[in-house]
Amino acid sequence: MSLLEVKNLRVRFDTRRGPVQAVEHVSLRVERGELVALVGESGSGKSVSALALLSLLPRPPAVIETGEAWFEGRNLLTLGERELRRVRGAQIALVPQDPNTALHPLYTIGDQIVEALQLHRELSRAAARDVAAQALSEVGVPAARERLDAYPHELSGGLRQRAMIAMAIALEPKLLIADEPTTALDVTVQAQILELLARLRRERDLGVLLITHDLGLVAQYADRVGVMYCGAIVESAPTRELFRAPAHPYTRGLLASARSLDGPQGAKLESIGGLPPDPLAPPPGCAFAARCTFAVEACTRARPPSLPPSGLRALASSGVEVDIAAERRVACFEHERVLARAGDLA
Amino acid sequence: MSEPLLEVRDLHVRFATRRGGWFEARRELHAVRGVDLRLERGGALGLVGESGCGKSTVARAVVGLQRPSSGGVFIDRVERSKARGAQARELRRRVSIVFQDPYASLDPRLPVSASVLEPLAIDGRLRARARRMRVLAAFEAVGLDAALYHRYPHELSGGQRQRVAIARALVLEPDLLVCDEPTSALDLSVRAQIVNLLAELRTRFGLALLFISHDLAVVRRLADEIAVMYLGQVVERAPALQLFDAPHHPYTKALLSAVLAPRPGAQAERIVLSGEPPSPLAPPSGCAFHPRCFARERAPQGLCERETPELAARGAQRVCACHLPHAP
Amino acid sequence: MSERSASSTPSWFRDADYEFAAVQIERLRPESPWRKARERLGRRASVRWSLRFLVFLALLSFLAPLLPLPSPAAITVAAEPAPPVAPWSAFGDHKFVAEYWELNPLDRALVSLRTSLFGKWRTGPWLGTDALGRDVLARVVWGSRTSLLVALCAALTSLVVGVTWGALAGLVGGRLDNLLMRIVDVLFAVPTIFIVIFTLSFLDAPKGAVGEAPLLSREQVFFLVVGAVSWLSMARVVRGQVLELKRSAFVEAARIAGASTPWILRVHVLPNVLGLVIVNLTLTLPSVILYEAFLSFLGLGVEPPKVSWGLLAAEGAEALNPLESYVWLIAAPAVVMALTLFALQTLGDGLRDAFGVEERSER
Repeated sequence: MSLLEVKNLRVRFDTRRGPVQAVEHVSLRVERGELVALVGESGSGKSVSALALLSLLPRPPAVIETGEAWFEGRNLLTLGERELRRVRGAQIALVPQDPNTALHPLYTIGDQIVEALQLHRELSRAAARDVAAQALSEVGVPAARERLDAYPHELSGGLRQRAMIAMAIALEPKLLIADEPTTALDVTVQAQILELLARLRRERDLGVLLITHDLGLVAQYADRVGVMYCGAIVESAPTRELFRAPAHPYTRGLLASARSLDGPQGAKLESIGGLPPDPLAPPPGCAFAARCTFAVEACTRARPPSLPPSGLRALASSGVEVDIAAERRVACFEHERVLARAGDLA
Repeated sequence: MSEPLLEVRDLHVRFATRRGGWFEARRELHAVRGVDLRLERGGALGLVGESGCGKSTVARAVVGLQRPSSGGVFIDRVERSKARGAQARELRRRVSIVFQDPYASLDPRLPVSASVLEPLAIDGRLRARARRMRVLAAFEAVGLDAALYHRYPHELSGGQRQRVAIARALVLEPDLLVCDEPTSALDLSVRAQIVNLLAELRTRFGLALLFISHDLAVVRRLADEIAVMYLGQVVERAPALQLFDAPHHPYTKALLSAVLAPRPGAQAERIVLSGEPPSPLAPPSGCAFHPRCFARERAPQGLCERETPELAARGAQRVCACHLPHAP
Repeated sequence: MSERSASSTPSWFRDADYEFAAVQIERLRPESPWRKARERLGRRASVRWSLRFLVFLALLSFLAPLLPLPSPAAITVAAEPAPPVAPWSAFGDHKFVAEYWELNPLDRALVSLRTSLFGKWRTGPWLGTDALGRDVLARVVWGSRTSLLVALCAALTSLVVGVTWGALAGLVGGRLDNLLMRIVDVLFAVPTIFIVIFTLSFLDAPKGAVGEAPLLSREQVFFLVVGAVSWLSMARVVRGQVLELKRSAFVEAARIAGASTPWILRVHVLPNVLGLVIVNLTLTLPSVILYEAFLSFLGLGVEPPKVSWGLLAAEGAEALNPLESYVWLIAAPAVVMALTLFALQTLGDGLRDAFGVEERSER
């Protein structure tokens, strides 16, 4: 049984200017010891999805229309507040996006970790401090015991993020949801944090749901990827397959754009033209159609359903290395044409 | 063109801090510690480094927002901080800036056209209708639809706002455009658009670019030459191709290897630095990088802790500040 | 790369191509932010009604001498406070007597206009009369003049003195900031009531022979004091906001383009502090009105025969005794004052919403 299985999640925000479908349709799975990445740009609904799982969205204005989130045999979306509190932190930990705003500026990080510990376990303060110090040194904070008494502003960005991760793993959760854990950090520090997450995952058989917009991160660390656009997962596949042969035009666009940055110096960069649609006025068909170079008329009339792609066999026989048995889904009427062009992607 | 457009000579910037807490009173923050830079007309120099290295401060000094504590910023041989009156005005026209956060760099209470008009209005040489014409021309040059003229910043997307900021920077036809992390706050798909735009504008108008970015891919695309900064000093400077092909300084190597390629399994051996970036308030002795340097053992005992390495030439176009000879 | 100097080489931009567009674009200027704000203001019913009430009150108060009310100062000795009588029972009578304290020329003109229009007709005792036979309704209406005038005085000082003071201190910074703010701190620290008492006793002193008028009337002293202190909180608030704005990227961009401090003040700072200014104003006004009422209640504000809500409340409170409850005497001014304060607060809320920072996009 999967560690986490989300089915058909739909989240709507009732704003003053009208309803906004923040999450159109999200289904995903995370196994133990697996790192699943949720990729998308701002406004794609990835953070909302994660928050919805733990019922951390303010409702109103958020409304979870449908969906199930199965974790250890229970549907998180139907749990009462008391049950949820037991799950949050202890079973599923969330590392939020910005360590600057997620840590309370007036409490030491030791206090904050201890608070989390004491909420879930019967621990004396001294014992809790021990566990906290242990967690801090586990995440690579030097002089962990002394650091317990440091205030967030006294730590660098990297250390703060490590402190947040320490807080998250101190209770030995089974699933870690990391929301853009490295966006606010320097490149070299990013490397450190990711190595840390990878190690923790290996050592503790932790399942990780990584939310990010950084394709490099995804390529190096994720086992499987879900690409989100305008609230829906438009493609999901094992990492290698996704990068080798993307089936959705948006994925292809993102990859081309990211890769072209790597390319020869004078070359023009690939970009995806146009803009995402207004969330208050979603188009009738596929949300990406207006910017899509593969779009045909059918794309503007109906939303493509998410299905396993066809055309992998043909692609394999044309010489591109693909795993036809891989578990993939794509929501695009024209995905076969996209796959066929996989060889073009440098 | 022997005369460089921009020259930064031995720039030092010191800030007095008056913090209590765990800092002693009256500490001095030596943010920029002797930086030399040169930029030719139409050239493009990328300044890379991590937070606290002083690159933003250097950019601010070039643009005139920051007064140097010693050393100088020279635009066409004119020292910036000593210029007065008409000369100062001319300098301001010639150097403009694009900031990182496109939302914060536009006044939220003004329509975007007003933001782009502002430098023209302050300059005062064109009349009202001529100014509007110029703004419209600038809009087109950056790829903005004229229909957005009266809109407010919050009604535009991040990419559009950044284009407005670029239009504003171009409107007085500067010689040098300073960009402080122009794409960091933007989405992936928009990043490429803006980078393409900047490159295009550069060729089209002969603009020189001085830009700061931590996104090495962007730097690689736009820069002719790259200067790597660490804790207030330039540790390596070389033409872009050379730097990426064969970095000399250990920090540059670590920086380049930390960038994750969007290709599964293609990651070369990653150098993961130990320790935290140092605080500019308490710089390490000798070479500022030595506490985290992975190549330290190759140096004679204690050399890196004792002596600060000089920026020495390595080959025709490169300089590097490291005691160790290059080892690939 | 070609060398360029300021004016000799051709411009990058072919401005002339855009001449037509430039003309068109001006015509297409959309609704100004003021109109949008106005529309947002009218959204809530409570805000609309508050605005109507305040406008109505302002009109009533300004035109008080013109209205066919009884005189607020006409005394009928040895009368007892009479309870309110419903308008349909006693709509009015013809016993108007034009007795007032010293009025200014405009008011006198209005009064004479009133007598020519309505003759001796006056409204009945719809809110009752007090122990001196004076009509309560008339006194409440005339009393509103003082309160609204005080509010106006406070608003003007706040806006003119407070905003500039705070903006200057914030923008210029350094020693000027220090000096300006220390002055504010000192003025803040002194309890205003002592200033009032002190000034009053000081100005009463040079009265030589009995009957000689003091240098300044109580009322004038009061207005002076209100003016002197009501701008303080505005100055602080504006300074805080300006300090924050000073560091914002768009102000820096303006500086880089060569904008002078007055330019930045006018173009960037003032529009961005407007919302805050309005909110602060709607907080100060009610407290100023209350303060006036308080002082008058203590006998330190407006003097009889002039009338203010505070004075009315004081008289009403005095008249309360366990034998006869002349409730209307205190209820009338209290209710009207409460309504006014409530309306001001609600309007303030509405204004803050209307001028609030635009919602960031939903993403």
